[in-house]
Amino acid sequence: MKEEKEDSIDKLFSRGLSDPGDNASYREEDWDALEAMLDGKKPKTAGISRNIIYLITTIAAMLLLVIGWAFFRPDNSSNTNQQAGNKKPHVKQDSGKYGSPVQQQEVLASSTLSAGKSNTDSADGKGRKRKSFFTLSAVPGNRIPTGKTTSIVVPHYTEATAKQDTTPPDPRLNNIAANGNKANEPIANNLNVKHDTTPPDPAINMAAIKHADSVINGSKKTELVSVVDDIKKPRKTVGTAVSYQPTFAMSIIASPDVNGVNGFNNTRVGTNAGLMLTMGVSKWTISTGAVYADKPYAAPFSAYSTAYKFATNPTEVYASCTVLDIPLNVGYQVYNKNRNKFSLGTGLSSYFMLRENYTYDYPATGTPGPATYNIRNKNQHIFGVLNLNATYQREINSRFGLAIQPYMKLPLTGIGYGKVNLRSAGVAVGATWNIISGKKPK
Amino acid sequence: MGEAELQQLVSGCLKDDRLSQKLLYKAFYGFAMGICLRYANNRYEASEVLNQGFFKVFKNLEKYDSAKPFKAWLGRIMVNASIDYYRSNLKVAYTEELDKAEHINDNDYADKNLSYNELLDMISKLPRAYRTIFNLFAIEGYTHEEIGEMLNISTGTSKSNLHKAREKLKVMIAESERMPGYTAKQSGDNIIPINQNNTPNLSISFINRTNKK
Repeated sequence: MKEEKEDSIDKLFSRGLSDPGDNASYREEDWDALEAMLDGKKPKTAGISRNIIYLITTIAAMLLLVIGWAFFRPDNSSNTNQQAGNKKPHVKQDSGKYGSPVQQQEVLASSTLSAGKSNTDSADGKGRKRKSFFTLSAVPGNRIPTGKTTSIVVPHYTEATAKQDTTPPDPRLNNIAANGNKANEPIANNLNVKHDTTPPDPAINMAAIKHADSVINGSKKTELVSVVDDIKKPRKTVGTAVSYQPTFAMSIIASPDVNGVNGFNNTRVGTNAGLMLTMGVSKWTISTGAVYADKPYAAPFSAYSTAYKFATNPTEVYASCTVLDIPLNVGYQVYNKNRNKFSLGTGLSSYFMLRENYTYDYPATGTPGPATYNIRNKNQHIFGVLNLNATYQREINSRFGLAIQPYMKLPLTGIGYGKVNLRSAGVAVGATWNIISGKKPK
Repeated sequence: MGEAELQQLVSGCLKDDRLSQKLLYKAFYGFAMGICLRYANNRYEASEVLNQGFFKVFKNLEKYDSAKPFKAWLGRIMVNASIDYYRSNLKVAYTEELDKAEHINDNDYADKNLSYNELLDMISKLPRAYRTIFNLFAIEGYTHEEIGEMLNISTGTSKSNLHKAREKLKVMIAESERMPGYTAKQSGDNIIPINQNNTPNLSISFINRTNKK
């Protein structure tokens, strides 16, 4: 009897809970959650934000790098200019007054050399050895272009001194070079200069000989430093003559474009906006960036492929997709006169399909079948689109320019869920900021 | 949904086609949710279990024998997903001591006129262990031996928990008769509150320990 009663409560629940009715009605957000699971077993919000965070950090890092360089570099060059400026007076004086060691000493005294001090401290023989070593290295014909300072042989001298000269330099000398004090810098530079492969100016060598003589004559101390300056001069000019430094530019672009499947017969107008970075070396440029694009299109169902078999095939598919386009393009400048530049470019784009909304149009209204299909962050086409473009750029000033770029995007793979051959063509308009320009802005 | 249409969807899902998956999900959502709701504390929990179930369905669809009814296969997966969820929440579970003093009339309950919402509300107020066993025994039709195996408990525990579940439900039914409509009001928006504020003598104990005795 009791069993029966208990059975009845089971029946009550079993029957009463058999049909949930509206209580279990479908909710789109549940599907979104499952889709996220299917995409990679992670919560959806985390999935999207992680992708976008990676992208933003990458772009930010690139920008920081370029801007950081832009601000750091002028400082650097001005430093070297200053250094060059500092040297110039010495050079001028030296070139004019090689024969006058007294005047040279005056100049050198102002250049705060501690090397001189150490010389006076040191024993005479050692001091001579050191000085003759430096001085003789500049004697014409005896320079070993790429040789190390320790292997310089000087037959010009008396045998006794020559032998001394070929011995490795005094350890103290190394100390001076390694000290790294401001006062010691010229000597450190001197060591570097000896590696210079460019033969020194004969006039300077003449001066060097004279200095050497003055060393022999006992007027020691600081002549060697003037030789340093003399040798440095040609090196400086060589350094600035060759400049293959890359240029960097950042552009903001926006463009309307037309999108069509398998051609441009039935097109829809989309919009694009983004940020581009361009690096140029001589006539070549490499550019990348991020462009957010809205790409609507209409396609006949025949051009649309799907694994899902429709009971009745739709006639037309209307799509509205938002795409993150990451291009990587190369360009070649074919014309550059006055302020006008013209270049041609090509490259590959990666499409990240952020959102794809499809609407299916059936032959007759009321045909059973899905009416819409929406997906998010499902499809990526890495280097799946070929870019062709031509760019006309006009400089406003050395820093800013305007650009117009007609372009075409041809897919190498099927784009989106429907794997359509989605072509885009448009004209981008942009403003360019030269972060680092090849020419030094005045 | 016709058999041919179902087969089409299944074959689409086997190719990992997202649209087919979505349509299959939509088609069986109500049925699966009906099962999950019975085992869950609330709708949110039910959705979570449901998605775990469907995730298994899509990942193991090749194991489905198309000669057998799909609905039964799917239902079994949903029950298993609910049991998995129950197991993962075993660590701290709430058991309730029955108020032995309360006398409950052994009415015939079969012809009581209670709505789906009222019944669901009652069942969701049961402690999870009782609810799971009541569902498996009374609605799914498993035996105590089978339940013992599924939940890794003894047959005796299964029996006693079922009994306690029934007693709890009887109390709730009696209360609902005294205050008609109170459950309906509570579950008006389909979201069943997690707080079980009308169960006064609630004590926390480790259900694992009581089961292993």
